[in-house]
Amino acid sequence: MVSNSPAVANPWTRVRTERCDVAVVGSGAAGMNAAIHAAMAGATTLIIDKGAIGRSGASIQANVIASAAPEGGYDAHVRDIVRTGAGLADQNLAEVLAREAPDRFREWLEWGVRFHVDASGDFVRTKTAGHSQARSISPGYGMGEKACRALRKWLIKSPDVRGLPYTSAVELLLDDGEVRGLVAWDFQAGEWVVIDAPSVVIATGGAQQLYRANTAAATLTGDGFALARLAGAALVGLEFVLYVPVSLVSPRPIATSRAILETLRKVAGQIVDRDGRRFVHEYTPEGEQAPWEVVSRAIQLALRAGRGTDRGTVVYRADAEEQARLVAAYPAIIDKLPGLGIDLAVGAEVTPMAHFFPGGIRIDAHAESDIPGLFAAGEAAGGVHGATRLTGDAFAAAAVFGARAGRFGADRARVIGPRGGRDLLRAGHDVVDRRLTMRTTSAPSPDARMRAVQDVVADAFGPVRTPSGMRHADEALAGLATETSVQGDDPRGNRSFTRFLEAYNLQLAGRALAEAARARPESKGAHFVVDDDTVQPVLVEQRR
Amino acid sequence: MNTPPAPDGASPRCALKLRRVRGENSWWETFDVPFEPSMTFLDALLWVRAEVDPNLGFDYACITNNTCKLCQARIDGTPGYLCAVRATPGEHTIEPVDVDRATFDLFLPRDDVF
Repeated sequence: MVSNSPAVANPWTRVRTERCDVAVVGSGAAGMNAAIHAAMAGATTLIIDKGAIGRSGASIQANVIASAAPEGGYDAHVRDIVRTGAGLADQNLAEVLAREAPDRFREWLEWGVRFHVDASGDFVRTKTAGHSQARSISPGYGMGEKACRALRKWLIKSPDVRGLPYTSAVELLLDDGEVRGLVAWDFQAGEWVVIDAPSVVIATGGAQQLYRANTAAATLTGDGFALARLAGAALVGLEFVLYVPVSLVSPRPIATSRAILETLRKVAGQIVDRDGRRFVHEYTPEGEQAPWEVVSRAIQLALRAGRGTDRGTVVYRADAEEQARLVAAYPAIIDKLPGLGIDLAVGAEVTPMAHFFPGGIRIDAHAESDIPGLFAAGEAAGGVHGATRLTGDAFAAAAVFGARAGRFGADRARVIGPRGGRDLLRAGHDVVDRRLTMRTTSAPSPDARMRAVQDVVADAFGPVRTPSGMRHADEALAGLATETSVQGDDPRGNRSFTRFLEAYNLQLAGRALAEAARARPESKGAHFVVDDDTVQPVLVEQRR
Repeated sequence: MNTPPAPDGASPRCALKLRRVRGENSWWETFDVPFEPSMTFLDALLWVRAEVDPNLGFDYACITNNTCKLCQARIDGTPGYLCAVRATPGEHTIEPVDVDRATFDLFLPRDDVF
């Protein structure tokens, strides 16, 4: 507990300092690529992560393909991005993505990510949904893990990059409207870290934990959105959330992705309500194999109409003929199902889950935000994809803008250099004092705080939204108190304190989402709005 | 595990006997967790943290994928991953995979920073 005696130092206010050219927050594919490119440009680099470095984010569990346009196919890739983004993709950023992704992935190939290549050494490209050309590349199953392993290997060998694991970014430090560093919390040491850095790269992923039903890692609590919002950096497109419609709730997935059945759904199968009746065709003539966003909307409308199971789910199943087709298409997945306790003839309980945030911190072509020195990359950055996203472009954006953030961050550091001094430390202590005033012993726990945010968000910001729902949610989130209880007297290894930090970030991310959604009364891309009194909406956005 | 049948009408429970660690100190503490069919041991610990002790120390990130490889623990004496073993009703012991290295309950500092 906080002591009143001046002779006993308060253990919760211990501060140490660190100094570097480029501080990278987050260590998924975007963060590690940023650290590598900062180091290649000669910068002393610090990579911090609130969990283990290179294992904690969304990248590692992504079993995805990456986009790499073939030579001469850049313009077509840009056109696909702009079309998919429903007019909200930044053309300039799309061009950077299309032109540089192949180079970045060739780099990864050199670093040990074994993308499939042909006899001439060029990538083997396949065509995937939404793409007008074959530009999807892969090293086979478990791409995220393979990529992260190769990037970690690079970092281990580099003397210019230091890692601070289990260290949570808390707040950016600005001076004269420019980045000077940040304050972080070291979970293991139980102390604050004031980091002197002229360039900070935010690569913290999305805010999937705003939704109790999500496909992502537990670490995705919108930390980067919160850091940016507190600093006053512009966010863009936070109202857009991509959902995986057929995500596994029960039987509880074990050693598998919650999206495992979605792969099957695209090929065959039925989605039924609590009484075993199919319903997707009531909302769309395409039925269960409609695009993901349409199926997500249909499921949410059925749930809203009271057709869900007791757990608030629907059921995905397949008859004998459909199962035969699924076995032919995905034998490896079908083989896994008995171990998961799933019999497709009976079915499994599923629901749409939040999967990806195409919006985020608004960046320019240097991956820099509207605050000089604040860079963002990967899912934390916004503007690249627009109102939804092409398959494979998440990894492409992580690689391309991660590298750019690192390189341009290093350039800025060369010009500005660390400043340090007592001003920065004093600003850091102010952040510490402010944050500690939110810590109480009697207020709700961090988990309760997060649940309160999740309850509001799930109701209002799912696949189908209404104007009144969005308005009420925005007001409810703005009215939430921030005081949160922390258990335990010892700051070292105090998990409730790191959860306390996350709960506040989630609250801020929720507010950013709510404000963005409320400001867009019309449907656009992944943001689908129906009037409050519409019973049977048309689920496909009318192109205007 | 020898599981006594739940009395008629009673919901099945898990008694999780957890090895707590704080620095040099170590002790056992038992948590009574409601059993849900197909729940994993990670689900059980997340319940304890949400409902009983917000300061329970264990590491995890991907929750169900078993790709982050952070939720290691000794479950009923056998090393494994909390997200990859389903719980059953009855008593179970959960310990750090390496008690001597554990710093905060099940949490182990990682030697390899990257």
